[in-house]
Amino acid sequence: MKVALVGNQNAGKTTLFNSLTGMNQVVGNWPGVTIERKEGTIKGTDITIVDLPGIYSMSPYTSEEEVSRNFVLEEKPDLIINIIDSTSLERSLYLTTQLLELNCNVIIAMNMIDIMEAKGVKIDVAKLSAELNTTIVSISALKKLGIDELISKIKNNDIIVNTHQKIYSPDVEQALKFIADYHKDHKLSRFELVKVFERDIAFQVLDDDNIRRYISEVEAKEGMDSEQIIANQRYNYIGKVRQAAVKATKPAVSMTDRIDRIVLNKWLAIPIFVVIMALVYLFSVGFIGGLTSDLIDGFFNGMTSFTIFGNTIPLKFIGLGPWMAQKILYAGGSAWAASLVESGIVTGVGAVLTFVPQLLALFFSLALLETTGYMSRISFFFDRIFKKIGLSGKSLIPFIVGAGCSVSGIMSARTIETEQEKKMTIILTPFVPCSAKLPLIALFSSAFFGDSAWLVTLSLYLFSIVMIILGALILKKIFHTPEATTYISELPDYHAPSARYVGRIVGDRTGDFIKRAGSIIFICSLIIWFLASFTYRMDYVDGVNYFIKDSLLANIGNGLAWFFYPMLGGHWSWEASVSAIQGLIAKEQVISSMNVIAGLSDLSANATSIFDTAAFSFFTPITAYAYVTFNLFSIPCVSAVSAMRSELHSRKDFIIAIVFEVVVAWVLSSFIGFIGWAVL
Amino acid sequence: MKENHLPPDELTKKIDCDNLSQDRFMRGRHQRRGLKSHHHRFGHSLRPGQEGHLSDLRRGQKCVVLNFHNDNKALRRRLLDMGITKGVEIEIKKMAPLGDPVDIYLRGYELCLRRADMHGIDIKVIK
Repeated sequence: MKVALVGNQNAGKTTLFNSLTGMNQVVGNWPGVTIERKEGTIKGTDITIVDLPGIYSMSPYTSEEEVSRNFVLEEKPDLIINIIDSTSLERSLYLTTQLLELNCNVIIAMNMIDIMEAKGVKIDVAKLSAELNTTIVSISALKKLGIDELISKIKNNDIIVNTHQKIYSPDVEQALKFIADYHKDHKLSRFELVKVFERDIAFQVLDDDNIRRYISEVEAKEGMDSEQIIANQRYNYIGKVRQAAVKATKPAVSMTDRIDRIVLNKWLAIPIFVVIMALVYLFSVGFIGGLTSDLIDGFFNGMTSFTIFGNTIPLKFIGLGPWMAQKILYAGGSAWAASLVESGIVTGVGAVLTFVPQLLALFFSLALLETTGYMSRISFFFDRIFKKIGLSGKSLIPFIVGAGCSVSGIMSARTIETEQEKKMTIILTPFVPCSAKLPLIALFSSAFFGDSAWLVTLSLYLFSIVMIILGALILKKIFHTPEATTYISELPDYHAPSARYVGRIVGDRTGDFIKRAGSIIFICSLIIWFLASFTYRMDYVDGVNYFIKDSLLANIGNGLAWFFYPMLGGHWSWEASVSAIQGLIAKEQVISSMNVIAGLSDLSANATSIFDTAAFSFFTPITAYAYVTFNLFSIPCVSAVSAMRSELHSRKDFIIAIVFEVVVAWVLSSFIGFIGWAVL
Repeated sequence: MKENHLPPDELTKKIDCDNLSQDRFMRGRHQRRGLKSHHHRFGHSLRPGQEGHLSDLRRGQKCVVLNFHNDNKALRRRLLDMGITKGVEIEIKKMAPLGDPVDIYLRGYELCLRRADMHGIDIKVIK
């Protein structure tokens, strides 16, 4: 048995899906979190349940909405769970009236009734069920109330059979009957009849002169076109249902409205936004980073002291890498085996793991933005600016999600209505520094800008905003297809983030990062160590007969260094070049590679930072900024590239995207590097 | 009916100016003057009983929808789906800090629309 979960955007479908299946899909408090269908099995049964993107009607408007409609129409589920957001009852029931026209049973899950009651609106579920002649279960997806009742109704098929109530005016019902009789042998469903009546293009084949004439007569009688007639009468019917089942006391000004008065205030909105974003980075990069990065780095590579809140505390620790190397040497292992462990694996993986606490803090802050409802406000007040540069206010959601991971950012662009706005958003999303770029930013800014590191970090984020705006203006010129654009959205009620979901989101994302460190970064570190430790004749680079400049890696890097020459302020560095290229695999691999190379290039080293080693001592604050700039704006990692490819649906646009990003990154960073060259 | 694709401010301008070159000039200046004038343009608005476009209303005003004049079929369909049908009551609830988009209240729920899209909806003010 297959059950489909259908409802408006942000009605709580995925939350319900998680409760029904015990699964762990991502939820958020903005319209359009789910962009693909997801399947699961209802707990304790063998019933398959499919979570679908939110839709407002069976006439889809955006690509992700099409997924839902096609599933319901073509794959014919055995049962539809129609989840209804009680806080927008009438609009939810509009979709219900359409679902009830399909040849499929429907069970309604009334979500968020408790919120409505708190607002002083009482919904009589029994009455509503009688009016709609449909089974209704009252639930709270978030608090997991009513889930068992819902499951038992589904399992026992304890559901009112869908009998297709006649909800339209006699004239329209007559017209539907006329169409049905006209196409007797087709045995059209009620849904299809209505679609023909609405003159829906998808049902044009069933159209014909006689039918058209009949429809025109009804239209003339009602004084509006058939599409409006149907929408009007659906809502009239819903209005009647509502009157019978809903009792509202005079609603007070809600908490959400009170918060919005401040957050959406003409003068305060943008300062509040800037402060919130600054706090996110001050907290994660500045505070947490300053607290933890020395300690963790010390744990892997050894330390003699660490600094906390400006106080230097002596703490001697040999470090995991050196300790393991010692053990290997004591046990009679060869020098290169010790080096493999210390300079390859521990350095490479450790370089990335150093940033886990900062990422935890970043993911936590982003999860708060996503689950409280603030995200939709940002999109709401930026729409006016974004419209001007050819984007939509909704582009802001991919951008903010992209601060976590470009892949999910790119995917969430699907909710954007207009094709060109969507395309541009997809191409520009990688400009937002994703969490994997954070280590790179944090490393360089703390090394070169000390206490003002968080400020530099923030400046890079502001820089990326500027680049998104400029990039949008350029792309607008490149694509140049002026079209009418629209923005239809909602401001969901604020609610306190659920600790469970925030924990889940933070846990998942941090887990992914650590997993990558243990897999991709681990393997890459081995490869980099190998390439840096052997010459092409397979002689071991021992620092006596052979030096790292003879290694395979140096040879590869020298082949690439011309490309990076300008941005490094006229410095030929195979080390930095070969590291930057590895950003294609994963952005955090850049610093992992730099650490491995630094460790190997200065075998004697007592260097406290990679920028004290021979390999990277050439970096000045300006070239450091240029190098980070390149890594920020160039092509994202492979996963993001393939997400771009599949979301753009066009090879030409994809090539434009890639070329655009490389050119922007190179020109910008070379320009900054050139300033360094000219000034110094 | 090509004008309907234009944002409302330009549309009014088109009607105001009979000289095309002057129109171009004005439009450039108008855009350069930026957001404030836009705001102002919608500021002096309609009194109860008057008819106009949904985009003409101020925060807190209420109206009844009379008709649609909109070429964008997909958008029209969407607005119908969202419950903006003839006779429905709409209240202007919130405005984005820059004056656009606008959050409206209808049928017991709220919806955000751009002014340009609201322009295609004819209304009669009731409050």
